[in-house]
Amino acid sequence: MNTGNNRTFLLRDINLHIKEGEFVSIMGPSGSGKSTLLNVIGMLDEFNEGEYNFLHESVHKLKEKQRTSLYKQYIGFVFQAYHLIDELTVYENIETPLIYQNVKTSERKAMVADILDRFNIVGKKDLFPTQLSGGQQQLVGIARALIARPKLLLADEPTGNLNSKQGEEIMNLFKELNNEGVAIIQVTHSEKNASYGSRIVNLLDGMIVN
Amino acid sequence: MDRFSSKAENTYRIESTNRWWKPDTTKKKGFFDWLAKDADHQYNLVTPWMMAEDLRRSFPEIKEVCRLVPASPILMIGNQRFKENKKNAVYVDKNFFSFFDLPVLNGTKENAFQDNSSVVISEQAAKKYFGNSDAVGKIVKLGEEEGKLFTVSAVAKNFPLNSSMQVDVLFPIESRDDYQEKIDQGVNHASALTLLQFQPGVDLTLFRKKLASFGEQYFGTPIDRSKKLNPGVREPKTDLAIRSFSEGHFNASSPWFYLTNLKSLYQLILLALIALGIACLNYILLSLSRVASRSQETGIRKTIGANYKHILKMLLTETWVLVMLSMTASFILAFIVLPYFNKLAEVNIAVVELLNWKFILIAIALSLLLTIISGIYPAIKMTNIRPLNVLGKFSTYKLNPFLSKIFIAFQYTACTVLIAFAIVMAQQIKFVNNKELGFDKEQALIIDNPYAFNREKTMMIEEQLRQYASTQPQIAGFTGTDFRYAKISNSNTHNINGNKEPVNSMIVDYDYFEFNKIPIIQGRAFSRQFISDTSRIDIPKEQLDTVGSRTMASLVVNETLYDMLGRPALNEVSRPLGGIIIGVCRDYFSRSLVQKIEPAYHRCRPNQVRYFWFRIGSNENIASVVNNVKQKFNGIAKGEDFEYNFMDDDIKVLYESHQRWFAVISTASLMTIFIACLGLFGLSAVVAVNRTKEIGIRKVLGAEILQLFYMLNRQNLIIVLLSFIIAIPIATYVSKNWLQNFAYRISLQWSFFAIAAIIGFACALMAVSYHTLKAANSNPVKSLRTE
Repeated sequence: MNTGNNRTFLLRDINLHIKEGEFVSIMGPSGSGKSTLLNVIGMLDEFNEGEYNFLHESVHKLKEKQRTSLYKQYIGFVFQAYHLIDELTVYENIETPLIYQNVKTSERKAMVADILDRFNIVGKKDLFPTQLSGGQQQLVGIARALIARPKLLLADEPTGNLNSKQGEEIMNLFKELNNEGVAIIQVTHSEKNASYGSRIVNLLDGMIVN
Repeated sequence: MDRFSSKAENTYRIESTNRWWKPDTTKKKGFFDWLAKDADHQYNLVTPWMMAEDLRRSFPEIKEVCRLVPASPILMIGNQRFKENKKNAVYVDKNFFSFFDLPVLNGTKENAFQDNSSVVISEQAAKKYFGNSDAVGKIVKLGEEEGKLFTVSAVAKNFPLNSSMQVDVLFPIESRDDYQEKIDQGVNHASALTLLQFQPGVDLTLFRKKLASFGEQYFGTPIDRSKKLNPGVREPKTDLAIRSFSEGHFNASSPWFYLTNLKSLYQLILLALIALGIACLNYILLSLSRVASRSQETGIRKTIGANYKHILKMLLTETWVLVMLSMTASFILAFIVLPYFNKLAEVNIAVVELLNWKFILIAIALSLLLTIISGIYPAIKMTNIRPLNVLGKFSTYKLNPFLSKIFIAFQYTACTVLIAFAIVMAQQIKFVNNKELGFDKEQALIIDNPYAFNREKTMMIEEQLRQYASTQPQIAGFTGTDFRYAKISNSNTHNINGNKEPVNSMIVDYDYFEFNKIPIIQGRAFSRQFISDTSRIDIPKEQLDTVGSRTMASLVVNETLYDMLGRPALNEVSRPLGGIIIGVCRDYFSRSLVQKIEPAYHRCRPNQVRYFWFRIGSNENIASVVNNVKQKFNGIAKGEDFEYNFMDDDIKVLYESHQRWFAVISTASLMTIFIACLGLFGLSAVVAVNRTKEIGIRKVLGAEILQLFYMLNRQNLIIVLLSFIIAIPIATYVSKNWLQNFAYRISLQWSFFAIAAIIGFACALMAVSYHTLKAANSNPVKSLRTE
């Protein structure tokens, strides 16, 4: 990856293979490139060199549009700061990805109802994000990431803004999801959270150290 | 406002109801008519010559009277010939200069005129006539041949360019040979303007009443006679009234001197207000959008101790500096476009007159007002920002969405109205220019008959020119008339179906209809085979109307008149016209399309024509033909001026003022749409900044650029569309009102408004595109980073 005129590698010699249904934790100090790696995997960031294969597709060869439709379909994102849309209700926030995937209204209704039910937040569906606690907001964030039934969930410090009890709940939820077959890659600072995963990747200065 | 004289304020003119002027009741009265009050109303300004003296004798309230008789003399200075017109040459009473308290260079105002052979000229006239040498004592000959000699007794200071009166040559009224004759004619002749000044403290309301009853008595004899002759035709009253001299500047009655068209002035002011309003709204919008980016600065200023007054003052000062800068720029611009503006508003403002302290003071006051209007809201918004909010965490300033919606709606409504109006104007102007006029207007050269009103000489030159035209292969036709296109001044009143109807009377030469390709649909055109076509026809008294005019001639009438008469049999005496109709021609436009085709008849009088018409062959070099005709003319009429016009120029002139308005409106609409788009541009920037995070999230969730673009602009574009709906009735109203100016007009079509809407929408779309596309294209990773 390049920034500015100086060619600095944000990531370098990363050779990572993640299987379907795996739960990987990425760890490392600040600035080690964890988030960048996650963004590249999530196809939000581009890379200049190397190859990236995702479900038999060569991502580095795809055009932007194809890439978008690929990650739209298979990848869900969970953020540390939740990144819910303040102007939309819980229900609408969860529904948004489906709109962008051109899912029909009736189908959308059923899918959102399902997930609200599953996460026990049916009663909160008409509230706005600011009316929720941090843990609840993150729950909505995860619900939104899962609504389109992705194969891969990318989580950038999902518990970073939560207290330990809320964090634990989220991690348990992740474990549960992983058991259902969703692959998860999470970036975290916490050893405890990392231990929920089946594999830990340590990053330092853009390189994998193991 | 006439401030050329300190006494103008106390000066009044006499006016009376004009019995012959009919206000056009077919036109709807608009808002501007209401504003301009009776500016369009034609009053009768001319009074009998002896009335001034009679008024003074009857009313002790009157301190001074002064009579003015506009004239259009030809002056000979040595061998040089100068033609002056009614606006700058006038016969006046000798007290003129003391009446108006006007300074006279070399002389006193009391005896500017020493005797009846004195003439006073203005500085600029002195320069024109005599160059730099002293004009006083020089001889001016009035009239060309056996003219009367006048001596310049004084030179008057030039009149300011914005006053009603800008006279260059003043003769004493008593110098006229017909002076005594005119006085003796009493109330039967009226051609003088009578101006009054009052003693101090006179009750004008009372005076007005007294004057009205004086008028009834004074004009009793002609009123009685009129009643007898025209029983029940119209109220033959003469309402004498006064109007202050300065107000006269805004009234259309003639023969006044220089006027200001109040209506177009008001219309321009409204246009300026709209543009200014849009600009202010945009300033507010754009500075609100800067609140976000400047909140950091404000926050820091506040933490280091600035209170809200400091910040308010700072921000308002910034606005004021901007306003002053743009005012300076606009002054420079104004000076450049001033001549154009003068032409448009029919006024005469000189640049120097704008540079007086009063004007500058008003400008500064206006700049302060604008500063307050446009600066206060954003400034208050900015001062209300809490420093902790700004410095502490990531926060964006949110524009009040309702406010911005109203702004956009207002701007785009104004834009659409102006664009639609401009389109309507363009279509109408195209329509009038392309409208079939009913005659051939191409390549018609029209030269003035130098011997107009002299029948023998006219006959002589007519015969020679006709002879010449027939021998020239370059010239395809020849005829003559007593009018030029759209300048028919002669109209007689005839008693048709019990109504007094004005009928245009046109004197033409042989071949007039053939020349103009006007078809004769019944009967025949004038022909040399009938001596009666050009001679007076004696008709027995019993067959004549006792009330209306009598033509005593063979007539070719137009269809409109023929229909009005009930399509009578040809070649018989027509009682209403007092003549014999020998033919009917198809209606054609003899005036502009502003008026309906009026009833008209033609008489064939080759010795009374005032203009000769030549049709230049279609492939001829016009300049060389004109030159040939000129040489021939000079050979026949030695020493006379060869003055010529082209028919199509005469036609073009008619629509000049409309064309100018069209230019103004289209410029204004371009400017407002530009400003409005600028505002939308700024607004879209605010929207983009405020919603960066949301855009990022949505992108991560799979939104595509077009979806984002739609999402970001949907609201604003819907408002733009809504404003079209508001604009359509307004534009319809404005356009219909303007189209009322034309008797022949286009009908409004949906496509006009649709085009206006499409233009407005396309501009709006372009304006919002830059920022929102940029935002939609940005990498979500950046906007979602939480450091």
